[in-house]
Amino acid sequence: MSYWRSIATIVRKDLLVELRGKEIILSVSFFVFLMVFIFNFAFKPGTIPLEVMTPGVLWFTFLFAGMLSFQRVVSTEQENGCLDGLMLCPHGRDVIFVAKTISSFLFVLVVEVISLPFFAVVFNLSFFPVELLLIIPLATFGISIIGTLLAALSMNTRLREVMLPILLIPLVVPVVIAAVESTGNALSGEGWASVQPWIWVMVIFDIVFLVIGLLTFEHVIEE
Amino acid sequence: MNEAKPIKAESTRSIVPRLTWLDGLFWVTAIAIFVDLYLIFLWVPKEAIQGNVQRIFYFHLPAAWIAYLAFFLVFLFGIFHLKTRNPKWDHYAYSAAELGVVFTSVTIVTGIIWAKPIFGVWWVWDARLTTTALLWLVYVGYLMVGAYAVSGDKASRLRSAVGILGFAVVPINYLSVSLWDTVHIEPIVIGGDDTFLSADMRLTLYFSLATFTALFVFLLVVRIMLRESEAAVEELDQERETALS
Amino acid sequence: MEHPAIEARGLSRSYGRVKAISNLGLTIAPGEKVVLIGPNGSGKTTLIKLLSTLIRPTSGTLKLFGKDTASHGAQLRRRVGVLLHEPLLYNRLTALENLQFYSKMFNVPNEDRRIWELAEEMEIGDLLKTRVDSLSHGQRKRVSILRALLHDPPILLLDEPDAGLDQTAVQGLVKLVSRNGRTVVMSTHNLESGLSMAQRVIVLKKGKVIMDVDREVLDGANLDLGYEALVTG
Repeated sequence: MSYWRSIATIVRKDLLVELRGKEIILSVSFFVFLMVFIFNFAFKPGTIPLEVMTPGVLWFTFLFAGMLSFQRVVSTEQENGCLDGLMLCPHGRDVIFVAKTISSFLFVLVVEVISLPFFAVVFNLSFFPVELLLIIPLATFGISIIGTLLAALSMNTRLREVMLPILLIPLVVPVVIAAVESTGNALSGEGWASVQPWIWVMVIFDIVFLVIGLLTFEHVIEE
Repeated sequence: MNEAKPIKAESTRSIVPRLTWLDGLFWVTAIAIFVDLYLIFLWVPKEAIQGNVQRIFYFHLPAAWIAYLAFFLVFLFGIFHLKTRNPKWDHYAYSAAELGVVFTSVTIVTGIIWAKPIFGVWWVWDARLTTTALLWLVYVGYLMVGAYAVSGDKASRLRSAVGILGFAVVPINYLSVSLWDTVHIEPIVIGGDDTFLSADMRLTLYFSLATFTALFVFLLVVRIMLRESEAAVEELDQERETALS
Repeated sequence: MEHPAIEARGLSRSYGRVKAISNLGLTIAPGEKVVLIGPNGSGKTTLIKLLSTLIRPTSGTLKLFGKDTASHGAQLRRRVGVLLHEPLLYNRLTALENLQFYSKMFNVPNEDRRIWELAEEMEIGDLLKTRVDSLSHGQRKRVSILRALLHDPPILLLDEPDAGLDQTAVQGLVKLVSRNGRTVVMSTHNLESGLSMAQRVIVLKKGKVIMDVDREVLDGANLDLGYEALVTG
């Protein structure tokens, strides 16, 4: 199918660009390490139980890491007018949106996978709850969908670096809350039943945001 | 190229009614506000448990309802704007968003005043309160996008997208009370059997809702007129600039 | 009856309150070579972007080969090649990787052969393995022209192809580009180079067509004067 073929072509191109420049994954992973250290200064170690603190620190770090990545993924298309190049290709503009979302998702996911062992050490986690295998991709995908749309949107404003967080944070809070709560439940070993409702919240959000993104992206990127 | 164009631009032709229509709405709203104040502060009996402070409820709930209505209009007009690209819809949506932010602020402030004597604190990080604050942030973001957009034409499309996206928070805000354990009371099912309001309280509430709605419609129409005048002035400015250059 | 390659009726596009193209009517037959001339801000780039479906008209209709761009955008883009001011190439990839990427997006069969053939013809074969950020402005321009030709589009839109290239290079390229009965619309503000390549000259001013003539009708010297008068007066 030409729809998915075009998406795969754009994603592959994004991966190739990243492979050349190594601009996103390396720098963002380093940023994540830095954030974890900062959080440990902010909350005096020992005052807050780790199992309370870990999920929040984890997801807010990932959210900020995401914001950096989305901005990069979208701004790659800005140099040399490449976005126009994509818009001139014989497919709907929703293809660009889906491809860029997938690229952002993959980059953030890689950063997460790189930094998880680090989290495990710093927060003294001795086991890896299998529920995270579902929670992390679902939440990351949700954040990537809105992040990509809003990064493209704030590219067209002055103060783009400020506009992205201002718009993104209030809108992703529902997804982040679901991720924090379900990660907390999973880490404290409360089992599948306590995680499941939050999984649904994330699934619903991912779908709603994806639909809105597909319908509005074209209007946002058009000059 | 120097001939002056008539002041009225085609794009600004709108639903703005003749003044008589608006005058009528103004007087109806004004009278309703006085009647509403009378009902709330003098007529309706004091609530048994909370006492006089409960009267703030007749402001709090209608304000919240108007905020929802306003944000729904932002969502709807946003879709129309992206579909048709007619600036008219953006004027409507923007005006509704401004009022939505104002009424959300009223909801939050009345909520804070009400919470202090009842819960003992001004603010708790509870689901309903938190999502209401989110709602406020989302639509302030909506207003900001336009201010910082690179071009006027683009601004309208960007904020339409934010308005459509932002509406996703409204159902969460509404449902937050039943989704999470919260200190906030369950949404009242209007006319339901389980309502805890007495008949005169309900009447006051309905009247207050109607009054707030009338006030909202009035303010919205006035704001849209103003917005369209702003647009017309900008257009004239632009024409003068091109004529000069 | 064959459809015109390009047919615009009452075409307008405004940016905010600035009308870049205003109520423009235009019909271009298949195979015609048209040059758009006009001063900066006359709407040339906007018109090219409208024709390429990059932007939507504020009002009016635009048809390519009888099909409305509003409803057949994606399908029509396959038949249009575009050269803009910017090269539309990724800095961190080589020229070849960029071209391969666009070939895949346009579903070009035998992409590598096609790329190398075109590159030979344009004499830029030795540039293909170079990263775009180390190419000069003129070299990027050539690669982007190649990019626009990859899918062998029946309509070619060139926005100031002569910017950054010398006169002979431009003429060579345009000759190459105009083969196969291709419809070419090219904008320029260099009157001379425009005239040497087109059969038909359209002069734009403030988003309107103020002159639309066959080249044969014109005598270079007269046009120069007339153009000067039109554009400034």
